[in-house]
Amino acid sequence: MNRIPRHRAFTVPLQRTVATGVAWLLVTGTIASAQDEGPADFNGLRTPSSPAFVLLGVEPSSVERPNTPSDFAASILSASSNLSSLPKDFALETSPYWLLGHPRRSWRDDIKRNVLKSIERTFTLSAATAELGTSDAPVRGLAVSGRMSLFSGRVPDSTVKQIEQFEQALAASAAADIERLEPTFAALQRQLLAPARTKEDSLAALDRYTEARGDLIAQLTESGELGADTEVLRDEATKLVTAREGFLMDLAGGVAWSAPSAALDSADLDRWGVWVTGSYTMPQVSFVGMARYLGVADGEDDAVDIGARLIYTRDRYAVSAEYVGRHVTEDAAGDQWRLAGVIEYRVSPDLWINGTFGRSYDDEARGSLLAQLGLSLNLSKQRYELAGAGP
Amino acid sequence: MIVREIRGIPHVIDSRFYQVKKNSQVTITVEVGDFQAGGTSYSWKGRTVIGNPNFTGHPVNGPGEPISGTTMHCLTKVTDMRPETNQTSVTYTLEGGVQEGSYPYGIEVVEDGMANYQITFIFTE
Repeated sequence: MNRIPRHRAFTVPLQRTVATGVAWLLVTGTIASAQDEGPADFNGLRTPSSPAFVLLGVEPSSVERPNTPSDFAASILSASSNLSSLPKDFALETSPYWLLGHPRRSWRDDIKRNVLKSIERTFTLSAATAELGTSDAPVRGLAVSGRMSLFSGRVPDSTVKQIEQFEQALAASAAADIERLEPTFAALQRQLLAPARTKEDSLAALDRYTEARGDLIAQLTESGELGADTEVLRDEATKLVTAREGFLMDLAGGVAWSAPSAALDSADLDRWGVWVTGSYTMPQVSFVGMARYLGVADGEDDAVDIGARLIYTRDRYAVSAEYVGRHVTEDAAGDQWRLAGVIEYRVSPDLWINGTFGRSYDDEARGSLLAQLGLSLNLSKQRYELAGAGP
Repeated sequence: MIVREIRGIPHVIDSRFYQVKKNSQVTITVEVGDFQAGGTSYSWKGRTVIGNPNFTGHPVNGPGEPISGTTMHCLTKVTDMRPETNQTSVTYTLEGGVQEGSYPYGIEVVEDGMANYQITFIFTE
């Protein structure tokens, strides 16, 4: 299923919103805009789901996410013309563990994970290519990355209870349906199976019996006599949240090459990156720490970012404080840091208002004080996961 | 085995013979796999038994109670709750007959979708 961002944020610099700006002036005392360039903000440092895309600086409009080994092979062979060329504008993301089915694995086997199981179940591989040059001087970029959770925390007790209650509801629903079906199944069995005398006849009759049961189930479902509670169960299923809590740690790394003229043998190492995100998530309080190292081939602009965020959530609001520091090699300007407070308030299940205030990276530059208001709209309608509350 | 999609829900439907002896005491185990949520109930000789939420080594007939010539209808409802996969699977295991029988089924559903597994076992000598 999807690992795309859960919600899209619209942030409005304070000076562009007159009415709300007055309130924030009272709080901050200064009008300033967020930096449009420079070091990434806190969430920008978090371990990306597909580091390859970040290294290449692309946001692919379509990402191949094969679900089976054969789909995976087909994607690779198709994009690379049977491995004869470097694909153009290609993006792929896959989790090897989930390419295969696990028919004997219950959700209870995943409440807790040791390190090996965590790596096995969370490892994702991503790869991307993009055209980085011009039509006169084409340069094909290629990036490959991996990501895994070394520690995955555990499924909260409240979630375990919620799933158990839901499964009990499924069993009760199944009982209601089977009670309705049983007398008619018995009649079908007498009609179709009783006359069979040989083994071959019995097997053929069994197939007809299965078909007849299928027809009956379809008929009774269409008439509303079966599955009367299906919509209720579907609704309950969408409320199941499988987020984990406790100590979580993500590790990701990737490498990017550039290939002039799109020739694979001309590819040179361009940049690489390593991300580490650790967090401890409890029902109301979360702590997130992170580090990112971005290296470039000439070694002059390697950058190290370190950040931390403390989040408190309650009912409809969340309050957090965050710090991000950056060190760039060969940078005469010296180290930079950012300190900010963030308040988020849930107006409706799909709409959050957020405010950010604090100090941006360069305290000498105009606009180093932060004051922003924004809206976060949960467009995907997926289960809400508070930004920053955990990987 | 047949698969019917009815009102957006795939129904996996199958019928099986399971060979027993005169005095066999049969047990059933139902495992919902692929880390998904599911619950099972069955009917046997007009009695409906609700799973908790499924069955592990659950005796179908009592000691000495004849089972040959009877039929058990199982229904398992499964819901996709995993973000990593939409695969669902159910494995029915019968023990106590002439030999152990394992009957695995699986189907992929839509995101947050449901699947119904309707499996009937006919006990024969």
